[in-house]
Amino acid sequence: MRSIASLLGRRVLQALLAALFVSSLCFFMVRFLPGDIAFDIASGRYGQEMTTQAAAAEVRAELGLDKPMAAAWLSSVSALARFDLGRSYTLGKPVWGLIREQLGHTLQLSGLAMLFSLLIGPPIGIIAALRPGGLVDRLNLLGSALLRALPPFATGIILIIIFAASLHWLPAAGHTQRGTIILPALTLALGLAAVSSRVVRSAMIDVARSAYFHFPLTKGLPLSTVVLRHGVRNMAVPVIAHLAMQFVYLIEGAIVVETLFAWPGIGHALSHAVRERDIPLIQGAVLVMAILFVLFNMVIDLVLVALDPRMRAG
Amino acid sequence: MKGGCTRRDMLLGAVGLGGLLCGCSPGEQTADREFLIVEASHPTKREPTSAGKFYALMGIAETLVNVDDRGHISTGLALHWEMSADGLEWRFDLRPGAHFHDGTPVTAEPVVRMLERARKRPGVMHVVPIAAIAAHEGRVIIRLATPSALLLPVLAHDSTIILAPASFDAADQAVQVIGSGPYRITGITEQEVAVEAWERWGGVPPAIHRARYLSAARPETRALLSESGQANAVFDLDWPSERRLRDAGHVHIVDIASPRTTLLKLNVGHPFLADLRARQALSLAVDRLAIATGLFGNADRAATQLLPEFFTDWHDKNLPRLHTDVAQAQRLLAELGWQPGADGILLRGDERFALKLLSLATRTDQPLITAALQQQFRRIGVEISVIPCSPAEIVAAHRDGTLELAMFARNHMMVANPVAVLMQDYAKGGADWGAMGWNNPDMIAALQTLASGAAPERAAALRQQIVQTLQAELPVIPLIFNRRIAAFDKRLANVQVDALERSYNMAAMRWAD
Amino acid sequence: MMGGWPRRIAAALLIAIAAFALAGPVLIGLDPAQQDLGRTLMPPGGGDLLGTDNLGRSLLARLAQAAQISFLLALLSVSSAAIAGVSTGLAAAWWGGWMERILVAIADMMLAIPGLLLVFLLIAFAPGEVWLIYAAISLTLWIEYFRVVRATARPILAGSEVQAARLLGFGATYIIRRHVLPEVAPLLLTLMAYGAATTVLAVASLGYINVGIHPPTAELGQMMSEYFPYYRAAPWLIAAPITLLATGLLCLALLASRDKPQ
Repeated sequence: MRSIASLLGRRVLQALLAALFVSSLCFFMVRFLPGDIAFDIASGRYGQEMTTQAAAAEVRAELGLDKPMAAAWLSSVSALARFDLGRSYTLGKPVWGLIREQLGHTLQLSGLAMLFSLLIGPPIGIIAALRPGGLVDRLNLLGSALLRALPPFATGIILIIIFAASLHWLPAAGHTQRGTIILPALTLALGLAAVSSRVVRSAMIDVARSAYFHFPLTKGLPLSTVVLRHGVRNMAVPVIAHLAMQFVYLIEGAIVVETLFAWPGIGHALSHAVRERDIPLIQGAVLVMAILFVLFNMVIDLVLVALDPRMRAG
Repeated sequence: MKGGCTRRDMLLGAVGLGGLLCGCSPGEQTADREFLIVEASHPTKREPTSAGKFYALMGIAETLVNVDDRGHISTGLALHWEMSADGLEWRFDLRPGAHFHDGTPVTAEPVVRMLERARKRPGVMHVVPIAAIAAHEGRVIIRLATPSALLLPVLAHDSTIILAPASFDAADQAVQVIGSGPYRITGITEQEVAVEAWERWGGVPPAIHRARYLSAARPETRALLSESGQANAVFDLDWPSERRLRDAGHVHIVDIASPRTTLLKLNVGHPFLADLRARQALSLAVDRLAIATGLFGNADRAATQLLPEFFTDWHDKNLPRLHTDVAQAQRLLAELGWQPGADGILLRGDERFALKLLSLATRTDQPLITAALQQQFRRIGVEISVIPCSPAEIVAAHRDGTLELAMFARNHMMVANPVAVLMQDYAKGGADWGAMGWNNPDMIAALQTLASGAAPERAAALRQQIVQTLQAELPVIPLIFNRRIAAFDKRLANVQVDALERSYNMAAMRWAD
Repeated sequence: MMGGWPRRIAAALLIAIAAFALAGPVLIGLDPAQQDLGRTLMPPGGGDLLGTDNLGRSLLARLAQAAQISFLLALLSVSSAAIAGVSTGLAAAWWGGWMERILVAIADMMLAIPGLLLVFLLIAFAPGEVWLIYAAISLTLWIEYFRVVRATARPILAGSEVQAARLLGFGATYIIRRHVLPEVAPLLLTLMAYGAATTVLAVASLGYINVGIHPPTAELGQMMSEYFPYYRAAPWLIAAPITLLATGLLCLALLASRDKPQ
């Protein structure tokens, strides 16, 4: 159990360091880059029309932009420790409140994308592995290579054109209408499944070569039973280990996919904030997504430990 | 799950789930049908003086008076009004039986409170010389210091929408939007706003009962929302998407003239641009006709003067048109001492004629126009680097004096009388969305005379003087006249698009099927 | 299993794209920003090989410029990241101790931030600045090299061969060149192919959100965003950048995929 504690400790430390890095990076970029940030803040707070030199000077004093560097940095870190992410320049609202709401939407979308990818990727991978070099395997190789070579926004547009604009099966975009989550989730899921199907395939080929897989077959059990009982269990470890890598795709893909589908998650907020140069919102979104990413990985760590007793010892 | 779960089962499961979540069959009753309306802007703010436009467009909040496309004032929350003989006192009678969405009656007190509130904040209210606003025997009384022709247009502007007192917290910050219009808000997020018909609305009950606004920032998302039939009304379409949708024929396209002009704002205080000849040269370099036909397929969109034909009183057909003459532009710049350098860009001493152009990153047509400008300015040896930015950055650059060039589409009918907009934009050395470092006392005097009300003939002469001054002095360079393009569901009847961008006219539309 | 031919084809295609990117702009001889508003949306095969775009610019010239930007940026980012990652990885493995712990902590920390997030974060401060895009991407790419090199080099440096070489008085450079780099080199190629794909995709994503490289410089993501509305009137416009990007990424993925030893 000590190794689990150290595993968790390491992840927590990783998240803390990342948070410190992101906030410090923002802090120093604001200080050193040209352009008067106080103006942006004042315009977010008082409205564009009310932004004056005086208002900007007030913001400057309030933010400590005229304070010595070290003191200002320390106060920014202490604000972070209190979960105080500041106020959005463009919306004038506390960043944490905004992100809390968006986080739910992003989790919803990534959760469904994960589910879809599990429904698509592994089954295809297993079938491909049963006859390596067969038709399914070749089609899978081609399809997965093509999907990986398309940026997520291109996949998304193609899906909208097919399923919404031509077939009228699904709504094109939005959030609250029924079914709007399916196309963005599918866009992300296809990218994930493109890789996971190949990972499952090669894991399954390894499993299929082993004795514990062949023995029950020779005993006369049907293939599907053997695959489910022996195959799936034994290839779970490499496949789940691979999931951790996929979260990168999920989080990066969320930025453009949420924007394209007008899905009100963190990724959409981030791309909007980048265009509007809303630094506190960007910082908050990046921080939360990075911590989310570490948490995902932590869960994967724990699942792997639970699945593979050998890892508990080491 | 024992054994036999095949791939087919899994696939069927996935399809079943999809079908379950989708269920978007078009066969429902028209009364229950939710009307989906799409535009780009985010309904993120509640502050009426800066975000009032959205709540007015949706029919959530009302103004004291309304205005039609031709600029004629009509009734709003006020049903009658009268002006004292000296033109200084205005009395408004409110519509009896009008109720805010929280059930409280719309009386003179909350109206006065809202107008006073707007007066304390920056905005168009300041072009009217208001002395006092008061409630008296159920009427709203506005006293002016001097007579003004702009009072009614300003009272029709969306920054003066009337909200219930409960919309504001103790610090007078707007926390919700409780209006009195035909629709009330039932749900609001950063991205979507759901409304339903307000049962105590005094006018004709809207045929469309439930509606939802969806903000879609990407132009392709908007176009595809219309193309797929998911959205019933999509505003702010780009021209190629409009053409595509029109060809496909599934939706009804409305493409009308807009009072917006896309223009180039120049810092007249900048050493390169201070001399009129430099501004003339830039204007002569622009090939408006090529942009209008090449990019927007419509020669009439070339802005050969600031105000389009939309403004029948202001658009002057006899005005010498802004035209293209590269040779003349080069001559003018040579007179100012500019000589082409090795790379074709003009030099004067150690100065290089290179300028930064701020352009709004979220607008779809702007990158096309700026790309064309870049090329056309290069022909006369002027180098432009385009910086995509947010509106706040243009304002900030104007205020701290670092702005060189900026491009945006200005709505000169933002207030129902263009005098109000011109006064904001061109008086006092300019404004955020108007001139910069430019002053013309004669023109300001003419605007002030118009604002306080002038006899028709005198007014016509003053308007002509103003238009001529703007054309001759070029404090901004007009480029392209905008159009308001929208796509509608063919099942809708009585579709009207408001060029002034004051209303989506949802309450007037109905389902034809 | 599939033999080496897919990878050989991929390498050949990549060389072709690289040649198009590097020599194309010169060979085509057209200014990719040169507009002709009177000749917009011309179909391929007329005066211009690939037709003209919405501003009457040569699509071929724009594609070549976009390929050049993507290609050079990928090359630059990947090689800086490789140099930084390999040297820090070697340093960590060679010296160990505090040096290694600090470097590992930094790498761990950076690993917590998905690459595109960091790119977005940095680019917000100065949209369109190419050096910032380059810096942000390199900053996310070096970690992989660091981790791989450190993991590979540590057992080699602790091994008896290297111990003997050290005792014999051979210097660090010799040992690294002789014993470490030959082991690391094949892995680096894979990493570089992955890194190049990541870079190209990140730049395209920035371009799509309109915060990438400033117009009128052509860039693949921005071209997709700009040409999308014409997908029915002029499908070749949107097809061109997607095809080029997909082919490039496909080839890089094929190069990076190393068949497992049987």
